[in-house]
Amino acid sequence: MKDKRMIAIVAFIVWWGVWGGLLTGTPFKLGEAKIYPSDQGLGTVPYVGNDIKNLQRLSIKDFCSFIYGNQPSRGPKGTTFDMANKRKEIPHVASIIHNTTRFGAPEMIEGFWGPVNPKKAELPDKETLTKFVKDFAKYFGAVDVGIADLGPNPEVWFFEDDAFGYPLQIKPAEHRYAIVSINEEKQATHPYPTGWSADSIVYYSKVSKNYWDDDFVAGHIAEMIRMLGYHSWGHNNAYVKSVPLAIMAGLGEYGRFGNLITLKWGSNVRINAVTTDLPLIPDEPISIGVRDVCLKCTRCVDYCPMKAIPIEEMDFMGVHTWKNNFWRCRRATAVGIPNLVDASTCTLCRDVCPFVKDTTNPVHALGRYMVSRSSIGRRFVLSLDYLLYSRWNRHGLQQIMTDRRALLRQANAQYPESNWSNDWFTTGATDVKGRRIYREKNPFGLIAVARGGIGPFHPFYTKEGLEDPTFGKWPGWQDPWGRKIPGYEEGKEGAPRLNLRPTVKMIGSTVLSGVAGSPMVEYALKKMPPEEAMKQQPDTWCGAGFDTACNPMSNSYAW
Amino acid sequence: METVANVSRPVPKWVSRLVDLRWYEWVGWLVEICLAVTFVAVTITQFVEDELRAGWIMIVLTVLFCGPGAWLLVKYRPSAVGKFENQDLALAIMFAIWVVIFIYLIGFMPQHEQGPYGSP
Repeated sequence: MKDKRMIAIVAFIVWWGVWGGLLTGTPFKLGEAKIYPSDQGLGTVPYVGNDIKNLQRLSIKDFCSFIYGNQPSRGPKGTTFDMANKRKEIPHVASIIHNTTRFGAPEMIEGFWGPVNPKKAELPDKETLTKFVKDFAKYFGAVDVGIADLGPNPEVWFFEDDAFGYPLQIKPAEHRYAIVSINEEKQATHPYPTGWSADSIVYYSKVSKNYWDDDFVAGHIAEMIRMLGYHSWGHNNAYVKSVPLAIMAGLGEYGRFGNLITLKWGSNVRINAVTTDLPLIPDEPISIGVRDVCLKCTRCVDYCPMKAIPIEEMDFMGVHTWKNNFWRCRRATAVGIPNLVDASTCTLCRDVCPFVKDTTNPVHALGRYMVSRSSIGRRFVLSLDYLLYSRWNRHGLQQIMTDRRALLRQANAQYPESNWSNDWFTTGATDVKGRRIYREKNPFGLIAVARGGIGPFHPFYTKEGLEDPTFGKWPGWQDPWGRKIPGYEEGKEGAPRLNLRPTVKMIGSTVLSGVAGSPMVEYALKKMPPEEAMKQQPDTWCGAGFDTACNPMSNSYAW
Repeated sequence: METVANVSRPVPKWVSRLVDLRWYEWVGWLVEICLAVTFVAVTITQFVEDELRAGWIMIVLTVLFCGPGAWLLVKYRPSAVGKFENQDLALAIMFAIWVVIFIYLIGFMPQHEQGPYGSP
């Protein structure tokens, strides 16, 4: 014991050096590729890894464990999501759902399908081509992009039917690869606001912008590939299993509540995919510690107002995984809440997820680094996250949950849970495999299917009911600012004509003007009280037929 | 005439202290600064994110994690004689605090507030 000071200081250095190494995984993970062992599979997600030979093509209804991707857009009759009825009698409701909640804008997805250039281009080598495609996606706004290998039987990645229960009229047999890209959904207004308010307008602008961005990216990639002379289809979350595709493309991992969880953005992303026969180099699934964290963390379970998220894994179609109770989740989002804003999406699981943190803050970057590299780091960061961030009233969650519980109680009385899956679609028949066929009795839709499927003849985009809506009794309606709709009189039959199908093309500036340039959004951002906003004369108007979105005197909020 | 340059001036005390630092003291200060920067950054982040309660928790944690190291580097000067002094006791307590904190942070399962319908 010659120099106790030296020993003490060296012990101090060693202590923190060891902990630093353990927490960040630095001495152990250097040079190690963060790829799942190929013989192991993912375990948490069906249809990937070595289960690929057992893949089967599914109905979208079988797969709707994923909250964001692949959910039917229909609700039971009489609810705000009963689009077939609502879009005739309440066009602005249909407009909101049509344009913000489900598909983005129809014009954006024009690029999804189209003719292929009969003359094939000379391609560079696969590496160059893959890099080009990825750069292309990022240039158009994707925050991350990966290539998924669909395997020898790509059809299994496509649903048998669309969100309405109609069979898909596409034959994806030759689509070997999927270019999966994600767009960041900003966290600024999470958790989503309850009721009509300035915040809710900002929130819906954001949601809509994300769908537009998705369609913008996927549409352009698909167009580009077809111009090269190869076949391609763009998809948002309608026709392919987008979450597992994103996992296969190495963009993130499967989270407890059924979403893709990326390292940087958590599940604050929207997924789009382009399936193609263009020869590309596929990426592989990555391990970023999500599963470890989800095994220990149950925050989404606790905050879920419907208790739709499982605490234990279960066997689902031969795979041990977390599987939400989709109907419960859907109940909260689609039916549960009479208020229109609440009817669209819940997102509390996503809001409270510890992976959702400020992406620009280096402190959170350090946390992500530790989580992705070290199991001890995962435990440490998760513990610290609970210590610092887990509070009942964080970001006003308490008020929101209180509101929501009241609304749900109301809805429970109105719609008993037992009849849900029967109410959702009108037939209770089963197919040859004994699965329930969910299909609505919509004559327009059936006609559209008979006419051949997709594109302008697709049932969702049929013009019936949209361009010439047969209005029923116009319901009493006020806009978010408490104003009457111009031209509307109480009890009057019919309604002012709304332009539900704006004719804008894929022009970025138009998209932006439709979202950020809207005077209503401007008022909302200024926190202008409704009485004051009512008196405003907007000085900015966007053109190109986008009047329904930008005109504050309009009752349509199709951002 | 005498020039200023030829006058040897006394070296400031802090400079001589800096020069006299041993290698392990340099490394120790490096570790301490990295530690403090990390903790202060996390603390600032909490306040920036309007997480006031978390910010106060982080201030406490910053003191608990970084304070002992600074004390060790500045104040801990034991006599060469191998007898146990009060500051050795303080040193032992310092490490004990860290051990306890780490066991707490790494060992515990999240004990969080229950959700709206109670814990599942």
